Amino acid sequence: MAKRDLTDDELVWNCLTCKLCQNYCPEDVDFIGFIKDVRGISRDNGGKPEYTHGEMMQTMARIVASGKFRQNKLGWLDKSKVSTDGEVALWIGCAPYVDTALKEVGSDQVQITQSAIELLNKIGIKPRILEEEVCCGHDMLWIGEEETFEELKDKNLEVLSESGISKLVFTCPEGYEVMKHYYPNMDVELAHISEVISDYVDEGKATFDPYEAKITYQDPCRLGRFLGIYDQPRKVLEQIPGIELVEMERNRSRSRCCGVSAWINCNQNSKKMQLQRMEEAVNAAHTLVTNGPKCITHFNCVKNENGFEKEIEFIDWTVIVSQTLRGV
Amino acid sequence: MTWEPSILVFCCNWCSYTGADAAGISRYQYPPNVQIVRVMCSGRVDPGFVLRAFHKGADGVLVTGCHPGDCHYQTGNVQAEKRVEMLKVLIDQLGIQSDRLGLEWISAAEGQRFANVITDFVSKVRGLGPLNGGEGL
Repeated sequence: MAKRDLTDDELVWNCLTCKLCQNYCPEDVDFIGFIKDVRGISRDNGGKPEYTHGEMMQTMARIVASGKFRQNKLGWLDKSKVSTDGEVALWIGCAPYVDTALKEVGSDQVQITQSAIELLNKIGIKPRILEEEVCCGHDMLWIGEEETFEELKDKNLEVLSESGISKLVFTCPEGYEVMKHYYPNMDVELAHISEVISDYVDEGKATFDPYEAKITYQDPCRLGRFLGIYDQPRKVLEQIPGIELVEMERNRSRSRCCGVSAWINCNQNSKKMQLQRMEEAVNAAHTLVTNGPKCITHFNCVKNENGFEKEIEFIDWTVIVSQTLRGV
Repeated sequence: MTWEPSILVFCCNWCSYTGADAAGISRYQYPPNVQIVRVMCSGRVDPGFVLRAFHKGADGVLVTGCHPGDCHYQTGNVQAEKRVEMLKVLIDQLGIQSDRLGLEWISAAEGQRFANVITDFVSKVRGLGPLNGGEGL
């Protein structure tokens, strides 16, 4: 059999690393780990993906990793809602950058972060914001750009150990995933905001304002298949009076990806996947709630671009819960 | 060696590049700190290009195109304007002064204006200093 040069193969870059295949694999092959490593080798040999947005997102990560500039991304922050010496911190990550860059597409990422702060305030936590944090490096890791990832990781580890925090809360599953699996010796407890709120609901203190909607929940691959968090977000949504939670045809560990990962290789196949997923969502409900800020961006993009005519709305989980949870 | 700013200028094929040509033909003087990249339209300047220029060490980036209403492709320069506005906010968030990015309209006949715009922009960036000098960590 002729040898196939994988390092120069488009297929290497088209993989979404969504881990769906590993769900079905009877031999338990770590296929996405393989893809990640092949991408690194391919990069060493001059291969590269088709970057989306003119390589803007990757360049931002590289600029931040260079450490030459002092980031100024917290202009929107209401300082009275956060603390400077708390034990619990909220990860901001790339939200302000993506918000600025993709506002036109319908990517209101700062709103998600602000909702998270409000949500934490409502359960009695004034989160700390780590001003010196840099990009989590998720996208750089998954496109095989190890050296940039290492730089970002080392900076973040330093920031985290100096901060003296004991818990770090995420709104975006990507930062959570990459820190949990690829940052060594983390002595900080990591949690997704849905886990925090779910624990609060378990304590029996939570009450919600009604929200009339029939909604369906999209599991982001990082939160679901990578971290196994399926029940917590659903449990909280079910607590909200007026919400009827229905499942799409493929849900939980079988759920379909939003079509693009790590800002690379967004092509006709991605669009097709997104439209199929939206079709599934519309068959179930008219509101899709998800926990992936980037998932919302991708769905909004294809909705605007391809003129998806059926009625559907995309809302972030954090936003909907922060709107309805009653404060203490 | 004294520091000299290094500046990347995007010129559109139909107006500002021809304007740069006109400046050359008419022998209008302007500082040699600029490197011109010719693009078909200012609307072709992807935000990624500008960020990559800064990442690779450009002290300033100037996007130039046809005057509003004169775009060869009708609305390319309008797109360019939107992007530069967005980029100014974005680079400021990243820690790069937004004045390092400029947008100017130069027609094919405005050789003198091209020389003036370049002279002004170079002196502005010179005033800001090297990219990682003042604002760096």
